[in-house]
Amino acid sequence: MSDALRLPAEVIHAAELSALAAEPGPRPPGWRLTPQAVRRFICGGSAPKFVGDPGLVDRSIVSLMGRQGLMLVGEPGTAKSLLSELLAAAISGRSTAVVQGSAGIIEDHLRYGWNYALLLAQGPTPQALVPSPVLSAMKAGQIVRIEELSRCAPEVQDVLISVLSEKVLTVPELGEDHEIRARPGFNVIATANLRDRGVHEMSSALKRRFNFETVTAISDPVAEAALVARQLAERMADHPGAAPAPLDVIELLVTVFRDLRTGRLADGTAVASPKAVMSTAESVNVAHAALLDATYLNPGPLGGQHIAAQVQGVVFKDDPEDARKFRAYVDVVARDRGGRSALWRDFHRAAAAALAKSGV
Amino acid sequence: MSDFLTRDQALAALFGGPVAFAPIRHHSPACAHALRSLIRAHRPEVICIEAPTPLSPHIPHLTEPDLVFPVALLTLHQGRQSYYPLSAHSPETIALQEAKALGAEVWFIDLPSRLDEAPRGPDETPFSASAFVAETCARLGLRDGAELWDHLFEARMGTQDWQGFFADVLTYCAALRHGTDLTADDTLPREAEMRRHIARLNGRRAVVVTGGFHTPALFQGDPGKPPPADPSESYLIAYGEEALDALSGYGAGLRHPAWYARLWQAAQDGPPDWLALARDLITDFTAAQAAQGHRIAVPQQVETLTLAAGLASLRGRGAVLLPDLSDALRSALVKGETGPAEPWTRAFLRFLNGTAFGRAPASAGQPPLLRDARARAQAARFDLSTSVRRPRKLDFRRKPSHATASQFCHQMAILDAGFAQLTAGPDLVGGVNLGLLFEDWDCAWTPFVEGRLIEAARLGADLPSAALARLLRDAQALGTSGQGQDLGALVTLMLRGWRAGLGPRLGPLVAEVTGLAARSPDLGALARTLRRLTAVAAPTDPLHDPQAPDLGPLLAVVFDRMILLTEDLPQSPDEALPEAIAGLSLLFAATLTDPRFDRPRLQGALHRVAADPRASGLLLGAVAGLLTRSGQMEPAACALLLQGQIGARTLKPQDRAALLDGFLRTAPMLLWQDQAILAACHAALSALSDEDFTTLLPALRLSLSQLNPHETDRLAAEVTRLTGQAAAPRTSLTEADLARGLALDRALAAQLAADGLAHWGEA
Repeated sequence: MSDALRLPAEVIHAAELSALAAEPGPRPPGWRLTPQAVRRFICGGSAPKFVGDPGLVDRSIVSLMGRQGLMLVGEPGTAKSLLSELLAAAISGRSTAVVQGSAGIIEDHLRYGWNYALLLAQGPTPQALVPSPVLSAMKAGQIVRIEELSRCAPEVQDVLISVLSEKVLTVPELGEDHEIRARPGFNVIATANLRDRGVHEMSSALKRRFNFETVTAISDPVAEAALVARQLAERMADHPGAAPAPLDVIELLVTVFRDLRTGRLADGTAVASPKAVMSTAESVNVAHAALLDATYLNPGPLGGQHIAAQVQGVVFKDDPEDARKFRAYVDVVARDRGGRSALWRDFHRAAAAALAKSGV
Repeated sequence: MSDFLTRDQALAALFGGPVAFAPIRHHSPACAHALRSLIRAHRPEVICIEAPTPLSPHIPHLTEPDLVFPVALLTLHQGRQSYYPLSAHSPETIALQEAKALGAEVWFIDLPSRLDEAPRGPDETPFSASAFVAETCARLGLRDGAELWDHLFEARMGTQDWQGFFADVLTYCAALRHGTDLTADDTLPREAEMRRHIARLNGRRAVVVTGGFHTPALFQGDPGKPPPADPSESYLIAYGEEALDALSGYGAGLRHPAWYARLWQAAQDGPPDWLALARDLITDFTAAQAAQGHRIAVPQQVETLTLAAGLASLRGRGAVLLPDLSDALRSALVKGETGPAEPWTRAFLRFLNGTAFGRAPASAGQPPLLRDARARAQAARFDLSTSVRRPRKLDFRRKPSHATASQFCHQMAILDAGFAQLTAGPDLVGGVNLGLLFEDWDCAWTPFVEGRLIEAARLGADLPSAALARLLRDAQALGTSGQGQDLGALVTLMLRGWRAGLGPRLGPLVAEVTGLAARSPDLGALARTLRRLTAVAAPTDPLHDPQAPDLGPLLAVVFDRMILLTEDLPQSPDEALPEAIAGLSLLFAATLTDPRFDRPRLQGALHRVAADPRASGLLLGAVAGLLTRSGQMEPAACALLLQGQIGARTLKPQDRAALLDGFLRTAPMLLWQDQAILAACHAALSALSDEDFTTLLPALRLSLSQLNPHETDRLAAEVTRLTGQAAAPRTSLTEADLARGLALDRALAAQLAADGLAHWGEA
């Protein structure tokens, strides 16, 4: 077992990637795998790494073969970053050329900086230049990932315009004509959240250079439950003492999240949908916390009551109105289902008790 | 699994004998192309087609040179319809055309469609729903059954290897069949019927064209018994691409017919140039979008084509198919977050639904009504070559041609043809917006319009006759459904006919309305009839029709009847009064403006009511209001009457307020027009003790609630002027606050009185 908390995708799936790389077939210049192999790596097999619309994956792969960058947008927690990591790992064999977008990002993080000791000693030389992940990916002909691009200031975002259209970065400090041209295989995958508070609008010049793909929540409940169960098992690998989570409890959790996310029950009845993000990623967090609770703090088989205790933390984050909507859901939907299922009854009782305690 | 595991077995079953089987999917151009090669190679004497046998008489018409696809065979049976559509690229169409070229016979070998059942569509459901399809899609990375079919078969459009093509279709369909419940519908009897026809071939060379789903059942098995005679009637009608896609009445078929029509066109001489096809399509789509003001820049078009080609190659096919194009369009055009129903993709798919509308050949024979309606539609310059819904503005009052077009639309509406919808314009039937000059219609000539017209054909040979017959039939139906005394419903029918230009032939309906009006006991209904008729009856009326019968006598009958009923009002039960008073108001308003009505007669009747001792307070108030308005009663007398009634302590509270209530129903304006009346009411109300006022309040409030906000403001202004007080400022006090305040005030006054300090309060 590695001592890192989380390893990059190309390390975790090294064996699979090298097997796929050995497959014959034409591939775009600079790509380690054929496009078909990339797709199979991401959504093939019995345990697809990305669960969702296969058309989206197709479009993303084909976009990256062209000259346009790929922009993944969508609600938080819909596995945009996961998809971008998998694409980079499959196409370039490296997913670590990444810029984490934030308000603190400056142009240098997207272009290059200097090793100031060398700079003072030697003046501007190629050795003193510290390439950004973008520049190093251009040199190596690889995919660079830019996370949360819309959190960077607009003038910083616009650095990418010339990188995407010219595929070149000039370094005037090294001489008048010194420029670094991207090798084949270079492209940009950006992820962005267009709806959150505290994000910047992108310029249309930048938008034109990207193909946009919207990553949505998983539409198939069975696939979602399977994904949550799998991710939960991966997270619990470090806790050998924990019992595996029963599938019906995972299904309950996924059902609660789906109902509240879509504002609609499976039979079409409308329920009030909270503003909080009820994503699959959040449901994995809840399942993880609930299972840790059931393993260490309130020992016993994982049940609806553990889920109920953890869901509160997700739903109550900031908006008191959300708590009222959740109470309505517990009082009406969960109580009704509790009449038919012991699991739901436990969930209802625990959720109602917790709500009463927090004074909602 | 499938019964045909090997290619050789499939080939032997399909093409091993004198009878060759062509397993097809309806409307599939790739199947049509392969079928053409098959027929030319096999040179059959008979071609059997999976179509209902009773439709056989139409076979010769389907290859007429003046026919324009798409067309459909429409079957009518006891008011239900079923369509058998054919497009230019349907395999059935190709079979018919090749049969004619070869001089082969054509047999339709299917059972009649079961009109008593849900629409037939067993050929299609398995193409999208079966587990086999879902699993195959998952393995190949395709999204659904439609894409799978295209990927496996349409991508082979124009192939020379038609044997291999049909063997694969057979294997595919056999696998679909394997997972389908065949007893759920009439699949098995239909297949027995098909076998019966095949047995009749007796070794003649033939090609059997059926849905691939049925083919495995046709190689062997018991033939069915001849079906009973089919009583339905059928017609060959024009059909639209739009309906070809949307129609669920006949489930079989591919979606987005315009796309497949293009594919068929591109593959006339072998496999199409897929990239050129995609390029032309995107160019045309760009032009169509530009016409609607949505620009697609050249770089975006290039990106779309590049992406489409890339997607096709990623998905392992040489052919650029519809999902590749729509995906590419989405990637290239959308710049932002979007949901599954993204507008560009929607517009693109709508574009591919097509709008072309076919034409039935002249020889096919149409019911005279349909021919007449088409001729009239063309004369009125409606476009019959497309089924797109289009707006049309008609200046029907000034332009005779527009008047004719308007009447045409109204006649079609009477027949429920679904052709035109009035979105704005005068509503004669409802009596609303009668002064408007224009009518706005939304019109679309769809196959369903033709279907409805054919259904209505027995009502008459031309449109006006059919519309009139329909109105008369509906009038008769009113009687049988227990609405025989419903004057309003009958007048509606008459006015619909009137608006549709049927006036000259409405004599029977006018007579019926007259008869009913002369017997009607309902003053309210008569008043509404009067108001509706005054819009059409005289040459000066907004929608008068000089050709129509004179409505003067009818108006006279209605007026007479209303005078009679007015004089009977004192004996009416209380609950009928409000409606009757509303009618009386309408009648009074009509006599004010319309010299056709004898005002003194109404005034005489009102005087008699006023003098009748049985008249209730409500009625008396209403009549007093009307008489005062017409100058037949002095305002002072009216004021006295109101004051007396409100102040009459011997009466019950609701009766004391009733006269004011009735007065407000007919003459509220007098309250601010005539000082004497307002002053009298004010005096009467001020003279009430607090207790009396509180008891009267609910009834008074109810009466005053008849005033609209504008009138309330007006009255309030007059009252403040009368009492010399400034208007009360708006406060946030509620009525409950006010009531509590009043109660406190009273309690305080009582306490002061009890303490002998009553004089404090007076200060």
